[in-house]
Amino acid sequence: MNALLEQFLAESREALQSIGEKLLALEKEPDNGDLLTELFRLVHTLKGNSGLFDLPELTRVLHAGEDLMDAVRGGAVAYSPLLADRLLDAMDFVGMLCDEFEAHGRTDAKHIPVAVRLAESLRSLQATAPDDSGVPASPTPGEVREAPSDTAPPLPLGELPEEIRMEAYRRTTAGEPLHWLAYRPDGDCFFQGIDPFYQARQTPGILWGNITPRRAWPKLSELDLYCCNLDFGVLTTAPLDELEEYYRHAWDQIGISPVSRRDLENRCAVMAPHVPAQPTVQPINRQEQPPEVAALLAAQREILSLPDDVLWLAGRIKAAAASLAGCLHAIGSEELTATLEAAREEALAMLSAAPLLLWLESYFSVIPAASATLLPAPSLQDDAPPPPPTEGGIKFGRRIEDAFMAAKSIKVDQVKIDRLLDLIGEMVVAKNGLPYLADRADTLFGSRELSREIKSHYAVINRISQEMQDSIMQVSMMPISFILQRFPRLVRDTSQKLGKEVNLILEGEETEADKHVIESLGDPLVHIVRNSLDHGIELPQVRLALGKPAAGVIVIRATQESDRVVIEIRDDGKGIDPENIKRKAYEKGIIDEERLERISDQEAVNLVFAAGFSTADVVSDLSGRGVGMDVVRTAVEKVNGTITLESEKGKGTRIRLSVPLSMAVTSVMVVESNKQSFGVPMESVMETVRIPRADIHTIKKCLATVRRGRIVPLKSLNSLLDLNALPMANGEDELAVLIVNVGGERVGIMVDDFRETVEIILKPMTGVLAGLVAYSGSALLGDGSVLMVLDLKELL
Amino acid sequence: MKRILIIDDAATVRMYHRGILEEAGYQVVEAVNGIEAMEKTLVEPFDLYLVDINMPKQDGYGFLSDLRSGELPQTPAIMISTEASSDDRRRAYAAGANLYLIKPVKPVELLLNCRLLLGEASP
Repeated sequence: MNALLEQFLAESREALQSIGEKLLALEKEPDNGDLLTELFRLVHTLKGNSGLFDLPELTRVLHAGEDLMDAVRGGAVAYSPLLADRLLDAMDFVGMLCDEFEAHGRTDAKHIPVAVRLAESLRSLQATAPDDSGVPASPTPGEVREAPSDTAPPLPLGELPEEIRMEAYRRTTAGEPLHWLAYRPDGDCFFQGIDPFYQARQTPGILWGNITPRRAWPKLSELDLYCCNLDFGVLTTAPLDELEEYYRHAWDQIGISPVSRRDLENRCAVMAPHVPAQPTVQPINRQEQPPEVAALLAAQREILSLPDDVLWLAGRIKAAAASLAGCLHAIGSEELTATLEAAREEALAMLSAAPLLLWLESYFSVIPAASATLLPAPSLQDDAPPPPPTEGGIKFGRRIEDAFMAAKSIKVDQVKIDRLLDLIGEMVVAKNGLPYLADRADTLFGSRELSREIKSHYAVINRISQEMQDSIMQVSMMPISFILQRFPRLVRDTSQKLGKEVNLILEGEETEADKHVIESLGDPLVHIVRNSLDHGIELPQVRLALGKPAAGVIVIRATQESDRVVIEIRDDGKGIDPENIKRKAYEKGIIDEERLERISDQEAVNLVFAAGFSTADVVSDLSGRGVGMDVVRTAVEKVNGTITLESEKGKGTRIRLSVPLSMAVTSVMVVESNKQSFGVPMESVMETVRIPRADIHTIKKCLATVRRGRIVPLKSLNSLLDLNALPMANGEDELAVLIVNVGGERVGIMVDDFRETVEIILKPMTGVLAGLVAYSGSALLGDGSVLMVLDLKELL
Repeated sequence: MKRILIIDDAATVRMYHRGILEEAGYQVVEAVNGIEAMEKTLVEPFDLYLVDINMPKQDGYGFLSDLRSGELPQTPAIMISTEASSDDRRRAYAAGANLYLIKPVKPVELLLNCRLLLGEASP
């Protein structure tokens, strides 16, 4: 992706985020002028940027938004929640287009109607208020397409040359679509860099075309050369969608009507004798100089003619004279500089622009600026006009040596940080090879001295690499506000939809954690908060009847506890009824009758995390959809997190998510089985025990033992991995058993022996190995061997 | 080498203009608002300014009138705006702009106008 586009997308997303925040802030203080100004500036910047790319839909919506915000800022339109809603919708659309543009490098033409509708909805807000801002509203789009005859001339069959009519007739008979397209460019289209003639001439499938003046031509002295007074008509065989795609920049300026074979036949009878289309505009020869010269001279003339009541009149005169001098140099008319210099001195002495104006009049009296931009003769039989100037040759300087910007932070591609993490992981492993080397120096080469030196060097490298590892992990840490910032909007929209009143309180947004961890929490949190909104918080009238304040409260609080981040989501809604949960769980077969009797209320409410459990009586638009809290649990557990729920009926619910700060380093216990080493993640290891063979019993054909008064099922790692060997006992006939906690159940895994616990960088399985679900990944050990890390959940 | 100062709060626009101008061999410096632009002008003068209108702290109009009232008032300035109306154009000229261009400015258009104002013949 090119750097400019990347910059644009990044800046746009930031702006969209800010716009959302500002709008929400405005709801609280609608009269804050600073906020309004800032909002306008953001929308304005976005629109300006979007013009650099081929994003007509986006520009259209933003333009409407900008006009609206300008009116709000100027006080012509009052701020209202409806306005915020529409603007938020529009910004969502813009965000969506940005995503699409990033993914595909273009946007789909199907968004045009949405863009038109959104722009219209924004403009309608402006229209209801007295509009004294002087900004001309663009013509109402939409209707023109259906009834082009109202605004643009219909197909002038009478003017159609016979051979074209025959051709058209033949084409429609052959089943090709035939459309009459009326194109009425904006009056100020020249200012938007649009060449309407070129646009019309390049219409796909063009058969014939004509150009007519929109209004009768005024006297030459009254003619506004800057205003387009032409209507274009094109008879084309292109299909409708192709036309829509081609004219998507000018969607509201065209009307398309199908032309049937019958139309051509019927009119045929009454068709007037063939009259060629009259040229309506006389060709004007291009100036020898580029039009910019004339425009620049006209600009200086306009500047000098302005009222001279400004303090910086001398500055204005000097600058205009300098501009004119530059212009003279550039066009090679240096012989005039002396006269210009004289006029400048005189103007400065008099402190009046008149002498310079006089100079301009005497040397450049003709050329109205934009004449060169007028169209050549409108006969479509002419050669196509020259293609627009190519812009392909421009490359963008990559030097970002803006020492001035003094940026405190830089944006770095995630891939680069991952690469850095990989490298440091490899270095840690390589470093771990040094102790082995030291041992070999001693035992193999008998040099104790060398061995000691290697060890001391190892200590240094070890320290540095650990610091490095810590710093790099710091880099990929980000504040949790990254995911929390979307909640104000979510809660606002959802609670409005549900007719509830909810105050959201965010705490500890600055708490940091690894980017991967943070990102993986986004969806579970949304789900939890939606659940709270949907099932937790009651309707205002219900709350009042219960003696609670009408507005419910949802608190999301993030804190750091040692090496974990804890996120608590608390609401003061109706809570969870344990009896209800027990009944549902029993009905769905999640617990049996025996358990139903003994289960505590606390255990019962945590059953909502069981797979296949969803208490919603009616699947609502919001949280229902058949996915329950088990999805949340799974997502949290994927990043080695835990989730607990406490609830008190009538008082509210509290959910605690606890996730590790970073996933980069995992601690695993190395175990040995059938002479191979395997890693078991430490967070699932509860204890390591050696159980005498005599204490192992067979219960219902399964091995089990009793630990602390509870039956623990035993499985042999060899049989789990299909290794054809029996677990080996030690000299005292005891078996090594690793007691692990998987999904809340204790299971004993019989292995041959325990080894050390190591910190590793876990690499997920890739390629063909990705199919091996029994392993969560692999890691390199200090001696260079590979350790396979087991995924217990899959294995058991 | 001619020095051009781009004054715009939108990084994308600055980057776009910088790309075009550097390719053409100009030395380009950026500023995000009028205040910063004036500071940079006082350190070392420029040959041309590209000025956006809407910026935080000090907008383009404010900067231009400061420039024209200051010690080096003659440096040409192009105001680049999204508004095509003649009122906006007049306001820009009154503030001290020498040319008013509408965003997005095509590369050729920008270069041509810069060359004219800097007094350089087209290559």
